[in-house]
Amino acid sequence: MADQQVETGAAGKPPVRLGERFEIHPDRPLPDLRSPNAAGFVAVDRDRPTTSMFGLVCDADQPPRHDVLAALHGLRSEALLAPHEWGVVDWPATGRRHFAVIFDRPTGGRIVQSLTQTIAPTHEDELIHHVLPPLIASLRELFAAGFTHRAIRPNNLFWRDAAHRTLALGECVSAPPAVLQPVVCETIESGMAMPAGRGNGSPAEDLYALGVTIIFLLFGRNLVASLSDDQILAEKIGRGSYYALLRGERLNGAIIEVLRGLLTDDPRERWNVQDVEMWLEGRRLSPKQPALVKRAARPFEFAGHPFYTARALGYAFSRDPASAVRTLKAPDFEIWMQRSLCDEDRSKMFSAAVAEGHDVGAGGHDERLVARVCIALDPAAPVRYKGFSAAIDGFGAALVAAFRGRGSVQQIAEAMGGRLPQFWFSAQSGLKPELVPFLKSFERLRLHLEDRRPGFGIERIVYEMNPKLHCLSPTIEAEYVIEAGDVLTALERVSEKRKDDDFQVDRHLAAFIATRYRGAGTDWFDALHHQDPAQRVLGALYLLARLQSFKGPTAVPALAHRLGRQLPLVIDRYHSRTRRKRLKAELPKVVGKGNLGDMLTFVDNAADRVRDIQGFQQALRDHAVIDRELDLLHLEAPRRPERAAELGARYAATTASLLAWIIALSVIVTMS
Amino acid sequence: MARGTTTAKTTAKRPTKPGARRRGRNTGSAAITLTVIVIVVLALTALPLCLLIIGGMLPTAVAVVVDRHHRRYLARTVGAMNLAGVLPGGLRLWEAGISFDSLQQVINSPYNWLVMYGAAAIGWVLYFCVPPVVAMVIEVRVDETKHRLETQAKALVEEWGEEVTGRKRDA
Repeated sequence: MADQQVETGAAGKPPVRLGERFEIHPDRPLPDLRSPNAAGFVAVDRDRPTTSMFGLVCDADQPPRHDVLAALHGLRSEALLAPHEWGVVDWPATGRRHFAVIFDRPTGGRIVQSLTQTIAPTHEDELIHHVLPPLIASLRELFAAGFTHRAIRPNNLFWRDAAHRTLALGECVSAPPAVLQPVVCETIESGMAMPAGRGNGSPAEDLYALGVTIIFLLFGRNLVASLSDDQILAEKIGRGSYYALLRGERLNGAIIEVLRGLLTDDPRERWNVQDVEMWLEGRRLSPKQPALVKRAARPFEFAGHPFYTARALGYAFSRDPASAVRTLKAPDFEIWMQRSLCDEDRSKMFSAAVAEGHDVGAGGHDERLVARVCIALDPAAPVRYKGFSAAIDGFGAALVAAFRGRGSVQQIAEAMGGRLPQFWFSAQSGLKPELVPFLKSFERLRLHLEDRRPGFGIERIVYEMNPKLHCLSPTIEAEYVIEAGDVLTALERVSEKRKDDDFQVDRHLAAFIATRYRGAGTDWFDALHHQDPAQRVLGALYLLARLQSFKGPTAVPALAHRLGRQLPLVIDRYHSRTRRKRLKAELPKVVGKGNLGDMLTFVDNAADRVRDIQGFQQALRDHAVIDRELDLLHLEAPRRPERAAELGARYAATTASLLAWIIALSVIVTMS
Repeated sequence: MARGTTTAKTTAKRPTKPGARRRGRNTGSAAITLTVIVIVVLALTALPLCLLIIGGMLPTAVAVVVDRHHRRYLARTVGAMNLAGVLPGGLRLWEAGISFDSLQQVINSPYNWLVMYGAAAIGWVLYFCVPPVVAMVIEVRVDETKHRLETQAKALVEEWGEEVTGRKRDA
């Protein structure tokens, strides 16, 4: 794990400053406060040195939730770990920059370190009167602010005080939503998605996770610890979450009501925060019975197993697309849907799923068909394509994970190119308002995907979908650049170490700048995509010069030096050798100043370019005239002696005539 | 460059028009007719002078016979010089009074024959020597033009690169 690298090798290192107020001590790790993707360290508030705080230094592979950070900072809720400060720090142990967050330190420690750990069961009264009220109040505030927690699990609960009286939900900001959640704590829909693709979800997902956490606290252990994730999911689908999670254990008392309400698999039926609060206040609601899932009259055999529900069959199809294709191409399945499942909505969607495939390209046709049929069978489930599986609002985080080596970028690109998200939206009976912007953006992003130029493609999509993702360009990834204005500073820092390497704008860097700095214009996309290396260098210089004029710094000598090494290619675009020679001679002086705008004007001056082109065209014409004259001389060479003889004879006759006249006049004068 | 163009145009062969040959032939006929008339008139009015001219202009007659060029450059060259050579003898005959005695005095002087035939010989020499000289001058001028054009082309290539020849683009 990268966070272990963050933790090790920091002994004896000086404190790391975060903002003006806080210091993180790399030599004082807090293993009990570390998150799976973030190492914990003692932190000190310089204004209030006695306050107990800790800092989380996040793994660079998982982007933090910036929007939730700001919301939590404003809430200051009792049962939520509130971040005081956050930002990017230079971390000596890894020699790179990381995102770090400062929290109040929960002095009571974590309830359990893992879900396999066993603790003393919590009494129902204790839960109802002391544990749940502050948690629910905090969640109500968070939901009211428009955010979800998505990290509610037993091993992310802390005793806020040393006396173990107050519980607090652990941090939920160091990683994308729900990425660290075990399947047991996730709803069926969310559990079917890959961890990175679960998305922000809705409060319903958080309340479901709270229900699972309550079961853990009641029994002091995880009742499904012996089951694998797949088995847990199959149990939930087959028996319903409530029965699957209790595994036959009996519950008594009022707590059954809240658990049934929270663990209902239909999100519309699930209790919301107000329901729980009312229940806590003593207004007992009638216990929810698990909603009946529409079952087929006779099972459908697939891969040797009988399936009675569309959801279970969809899940099985998504696990084995190759067999699913064969099944879907046989007539039995449609007959089963119409005669046994008898679900008109599902049948219509199935027809739409098959029909839509006719106007999509041949590549990956079968896999897309399976993906669409899976959506048709279970519209609430995530989009599942080949091995990829993500909620509609989880594509962004899933793409980041894929770029960081946890998943296939190609599969996500194919899923988006094949309009699977759009089909998912068309399958929803009632679209949640928070998902409407996604519907619009997917169509726009598909156009980006089809554009092969740097600044577009799948790299553009990852930044469009993750507005606070740091730049993943291999050149400056370690610099953890979040804002376009910091790109040049990072490039300068890197260039100071790699002065002799040529500089190139890679696809990530181009896409990052295109997304975060719209003012950079669009004219450089074509230049960066050009086959001519000189055009590419010019495009890079043009782009970086704009960035420099946007937010500085005023001089980037190391970067200028790297770019300057490639600028002779640009200078050679001038036709005039004299101009080239002069520019190359003066180039080191201009490069030395480190101003990219000056460099750009120097090598690509519009007036010079026009003069050069005009001069070259004149030279072309002159050379053509010379060629014609030389050709003419060559052509008339055979006839030249004949013409010389003719001319010579004429000259001789003329000379003789003149001479005769002179002689005659002389004779006349002499003799008269 | 413009000067080069002019030179090239000057040295280029202009095709001979059919009318020019016809005009040359007419001019030649007119000259022969005029010559015959002059000789006949002279023979009737001053026979000694006519005989002196006929005898002195024999090289011209030979040149007229051997000259196959339609512009009769050889005849014109030799004729002009020959006529200039006959002129002193003719003037002496004129001064001495046009008679056969005077004619005898003139033709008995070898000096007069030397002048008449020597002048004609100079005409022959001119006709044979001037064309090679002119050819040589033309060759020198062509070489100079060629060298100047090539130098200019080379300078253009040095300043603007091989592309200026248009060959790179075509390739």
